[in-house]
Amino acid sequence: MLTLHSVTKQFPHQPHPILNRLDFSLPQGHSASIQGPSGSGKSTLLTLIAGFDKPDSGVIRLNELMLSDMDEHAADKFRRQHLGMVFQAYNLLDCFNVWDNVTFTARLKGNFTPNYATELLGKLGLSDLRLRPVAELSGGEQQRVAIARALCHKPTLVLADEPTGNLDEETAAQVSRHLFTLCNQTHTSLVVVTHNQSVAQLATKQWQLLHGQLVAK
Amino acid sequence: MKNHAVILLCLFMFSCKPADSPPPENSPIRSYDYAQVTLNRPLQLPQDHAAHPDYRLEWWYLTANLENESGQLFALQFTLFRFRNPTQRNSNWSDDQIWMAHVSLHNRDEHWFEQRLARGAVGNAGQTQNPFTLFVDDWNWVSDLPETPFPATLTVTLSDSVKFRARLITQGNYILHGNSGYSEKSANGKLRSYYYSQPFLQLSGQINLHGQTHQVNGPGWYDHEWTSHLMQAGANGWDWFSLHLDNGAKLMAFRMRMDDTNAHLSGTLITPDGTVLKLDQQSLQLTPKEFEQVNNKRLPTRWRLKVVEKDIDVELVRFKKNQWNEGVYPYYEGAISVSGSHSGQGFMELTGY
Amino acid sequence: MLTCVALNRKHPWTSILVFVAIVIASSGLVMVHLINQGASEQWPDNNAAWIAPKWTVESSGKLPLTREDYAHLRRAGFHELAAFVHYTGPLYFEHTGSTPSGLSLLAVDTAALPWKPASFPVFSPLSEKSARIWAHPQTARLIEEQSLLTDDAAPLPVLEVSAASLPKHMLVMDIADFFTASRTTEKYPLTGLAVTSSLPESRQRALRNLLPTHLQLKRSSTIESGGTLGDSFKLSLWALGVLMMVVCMFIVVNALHLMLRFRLYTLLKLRQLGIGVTTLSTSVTLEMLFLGLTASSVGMVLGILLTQQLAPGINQTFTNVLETKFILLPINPWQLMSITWAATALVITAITYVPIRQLQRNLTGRGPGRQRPADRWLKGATVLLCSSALLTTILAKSPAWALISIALTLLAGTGVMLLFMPHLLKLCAQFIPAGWPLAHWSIASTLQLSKQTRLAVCAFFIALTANIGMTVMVDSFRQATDSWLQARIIAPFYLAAPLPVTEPPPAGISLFERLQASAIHRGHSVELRSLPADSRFQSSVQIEPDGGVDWPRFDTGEQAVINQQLAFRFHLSAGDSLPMQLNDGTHISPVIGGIYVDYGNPNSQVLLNARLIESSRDPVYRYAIWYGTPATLNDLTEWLNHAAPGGELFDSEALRKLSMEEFERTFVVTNHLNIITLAVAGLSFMISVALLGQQTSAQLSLLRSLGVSTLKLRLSVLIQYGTLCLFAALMAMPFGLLLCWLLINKVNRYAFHWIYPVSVDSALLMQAILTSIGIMLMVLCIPAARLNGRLDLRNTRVL
Repeated sequence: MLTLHSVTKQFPHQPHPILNRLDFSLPQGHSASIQGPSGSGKSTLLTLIAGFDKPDSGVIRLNELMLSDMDEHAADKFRRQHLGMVFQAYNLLDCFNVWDNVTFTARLKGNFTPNYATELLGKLGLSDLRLRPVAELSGGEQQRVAIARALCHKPTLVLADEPTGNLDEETAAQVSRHLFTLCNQTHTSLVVVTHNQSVAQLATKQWQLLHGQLVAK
Repeated sequence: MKNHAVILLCLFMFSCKPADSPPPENSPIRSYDYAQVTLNRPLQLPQDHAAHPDYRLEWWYLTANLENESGQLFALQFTLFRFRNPTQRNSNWSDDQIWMAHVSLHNRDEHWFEQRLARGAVGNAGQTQNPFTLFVDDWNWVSDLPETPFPATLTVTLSDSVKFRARLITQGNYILHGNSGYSEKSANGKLRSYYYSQPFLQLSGQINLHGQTHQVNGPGWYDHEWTSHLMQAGANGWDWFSLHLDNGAKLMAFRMRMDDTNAHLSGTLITPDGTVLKLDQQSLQLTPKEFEQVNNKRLPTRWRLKVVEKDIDVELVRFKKNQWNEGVYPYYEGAISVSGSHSGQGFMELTGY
Repeated sequence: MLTCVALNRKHPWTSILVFVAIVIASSGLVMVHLINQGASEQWPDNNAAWIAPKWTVESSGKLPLTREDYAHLRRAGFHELAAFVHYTGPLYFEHTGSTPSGLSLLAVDTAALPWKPASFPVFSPLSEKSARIWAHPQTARLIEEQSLLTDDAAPLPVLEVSAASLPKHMLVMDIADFFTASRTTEKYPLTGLAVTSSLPESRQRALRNLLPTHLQLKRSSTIESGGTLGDSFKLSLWALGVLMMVVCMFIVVNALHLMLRFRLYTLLKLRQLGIGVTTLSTSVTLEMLFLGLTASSVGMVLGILLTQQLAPGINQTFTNVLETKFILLPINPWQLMSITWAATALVITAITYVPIRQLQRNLTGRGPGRQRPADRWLKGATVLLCSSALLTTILAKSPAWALISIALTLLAGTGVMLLFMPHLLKLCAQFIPAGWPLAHWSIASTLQLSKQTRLAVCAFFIALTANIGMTVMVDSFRQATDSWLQARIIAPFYLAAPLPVTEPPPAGISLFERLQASAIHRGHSVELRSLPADSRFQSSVQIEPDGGVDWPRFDTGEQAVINQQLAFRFHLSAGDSLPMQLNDGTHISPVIGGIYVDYGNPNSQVLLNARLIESSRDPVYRYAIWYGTPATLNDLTEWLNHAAPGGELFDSEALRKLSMEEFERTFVVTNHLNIITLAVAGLSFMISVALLGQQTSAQLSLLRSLGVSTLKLRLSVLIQYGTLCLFAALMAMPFGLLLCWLLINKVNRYAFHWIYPVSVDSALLMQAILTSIGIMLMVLCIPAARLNGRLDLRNTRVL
């Protein structure tokens, strides 16, 4: 279970907190989409959940882990072991091929199993591209690799920040279906920040971030 | 009057290493070995065109303002110096004469200067009488006649790419300066020489530069002077001018710069009808108007010259800035233009700066 | 232009790097120029021309060369001829009648020598100073102000000590002063007419056509003149200066590439706003020129200041090592400025050409160009460079060509490194298991990084190759010198006495005298040293071929051994005859029995039996001393006190130590220059890393987001660059050793005429490599430590 309670975050030189006593919860294995206007604090929210930054006040918890209280070492460990991330700009390791990219997180965590990685590739339609350098892939293929990498180490939670932002409509639909389906199948919680209504609708619950608060849609 | 001996002696004093400074006035070497310049021995031509080996210093000095077919200007100087050095008289290789030649050629953009030195009696430098010849190595001034320098052919090679050959023709009489050639340089007369000029020269010939041949002609000025008398202390240097005025007149002006007194002025004006007028402090005014930095020295390169009684008031301007001759005894020597009450051209020499 | 200035504020480091590199290159070149100028003043070209002229007109033997011949040739226009006489008769001290043997006398027509300000000797037509003879300070000490006579009791002029630009044991005077009293041209015919300036082919032909039958134009068989050491020193300095400049050029190109990479986005925006490509590229070029000219001005001032500061030290080195002086001449800053500006403008225009073309392509959307042609170009260039390097190495027969072959070898090595580096990295990546994900990533991304840091790696490679080459060369020289000293300094003591030791030594003490003299072989001055007929001395000389010397024949004077310097200069080998004229006029012609090593001696030398040089020996008294039972050291010193008063006794250990200390002092400058070059290359690498760090931050952010800690990330970055440095170092090793071989067997061979074996001390080599890598890693710690731990999820910028 992912829980955010009364989380507040204000940046210097800003008149108001970008997140203002925000509350949120997500049961394990469920998915949530978060929408909102530009600058509403969606990425900030993900940043706090991922442990990249700390809230000014409030509590963020994932199961037993107090994410809001982690030091840097603990945050790194948390990300290695429990967190998967999918970015808008794919952000693959461009010196690696598909296989090395996908298995990277699992090797970091130490729970790499070739069969599972192969299975993931199969489900994402990447089996034939296993040894291809990622720079040679299309946008959709790269994003699928990113999804596979995010799930290969069996994280508790996946955060996706505009995962279809750089894709065309058809590819976006395909990728987002993969993402939600796989998370569902692996009982992995998923939080997706998106502008795309079609993607947002795939989530178990939809949220709107307005005036520093999450409002269920 | 032109005083190259004085020039050289001054330069020798001011620019040589201390070890080579001349002995003082009362040195025994100074006086006993050299022939003296006296009124009792008048200058006589054509005999005195020849060398005077008993005197300490001598030179045959030619300057010319030349122009080619397209009006391009050249400034030419050829000088043969003779020095007598009694310390060398016991040699079996040479006699006690040393010969030094300077050749300088300017056009607007370039300057060629070369110096040659040779010991006397070796056979590659000297002056002969039949025909009259001045030579150092392959630089030759050969007269058509014995005993007299004109008419003559002058040939010089400076390098493979610079050569000239000119005919020298006279168009007037020789001018004896001072008292029939007995020329005093200073107010007290201690410094003196035998000095005559041939200002009515016409040169014509070719200059080969970088494979291109220029047919040139123009007026020239010839000096012959010899002396045994050193500078008195306190003399700093001098400025000398020779002018060919467009009305046919010739003028020589000389300014000796002294330490503790005013500069001593002297000169000679030869009018178009051939009258020779001696100029002195009262009749001649010579004033520097503008200075330039040349070879790390501040030199007056623009002058005003006035001969009041003859209504001559002219400005003398250098042909180009750098007309410096870097030889054993370095000095400034180059062409000038004349403008004002009269126009013309000539040469300027600056020493001791 | 204003935009360029603003962009500089945002990324100042590239401009700073360019500025610093050009300052270093300019100051180095200015220093080299001033030092060589100051050194040249002591080795004036006209001295070399008339003391040991390349061309002379001489009698062919039928009739003598006369004064009339001389005048005739000069009148014909050959004003570069100067008559001279080599007096070969004996010289006597007027008061004692004794002979200062070993002296030669050269009389030359000083009026005929080419004149330039401050030339030697000074010829002044108006000088009334009495006649003089000039001599080197050491020669003057031999004469000690005594009057000299020639063999007909005709006196010579008073001695004047010259600047140290004359050969030792040679007196020089004017020809007119020589031919006085009973010395006439009939009695002492002219030896020749020296050609005092260069004599092109056409002029040679013209002169030959003019010469009468009894005269001939001869070319000297000696390859060099008294200025060899000066020429070699100048050459070495210029080589070091050029090496520094090459490294700095790489740094400038590297910085320019980085600068343009970071500005591309802004420049693209400016393009979209309607500013033309030509305007943009011209602005960048002008900015580089302005930067370059400003930096070269600063570099020039720095070079002048450093030379002025170091002048006393440089003079000390000259005095100790090269036996001459260094005088810092008056500096013309405007002349220096114009030279450095011209060089900088030329270099910048040349090296900015390719990057600017690339920029123009990027701005017009034509892209950076396909990869494959660039690789083919690199392969082609590398093959060409390797072939050229090989060819010039084989054909090099002069120091200049040897240096060219070194430059080509360095460039070829750079090409080989660039070609092989990616393959090495791929190979290495295969050995790193994927189970070490971070290490795996480090090596895999190094391959990409190698393309972006090519120029910085090249600069490091060249600096390291030069470092290895110079280190091994110096160490080889050190080892050779040390073993040579060990072999040659065999006696426990050596004595330098002011007078001959005539008193017989007591029992237990044995003295072996070493005589010295000089001779002329084919117009070239040769040192003569006696070698005692004792097996200890004979075995101390390292001779090639081994066993080739017939010592009995050596002892009778039939054979002699020569040093490498003489052998190389005249292509002599064992079995050749060696005709020489001694100072007393006698001629000897021993057969060469072998060639021995004589490290560090700039002169040609012959070892022969003492009897051959007894009559013409120098008044120099050196002895090797052994002592043993029943004599003690005290007995020895006591005996020497009255047998050789004023003598100096040297302990052989002290001699060896002194020699090695001198050796180390000589190479201090080289060591410093090596470190400076490496530091400059390191600086370039560091700034490349720092700047590229900004580009690679996206990947690093990603790794942080995947849970990699900041510390591990920094270590990974260090591994990346460390791998590059390590592979560059591994490839620099063979090229460094090759460079060492070239320096010894080509540069040293043709500049100094001696060689020594390449001796690779693997520990020293590893030390040099590890030190270089260590320095680089330390330097790289700075940008690695500055890696930003902060993460940016929305890293959308794409270049």
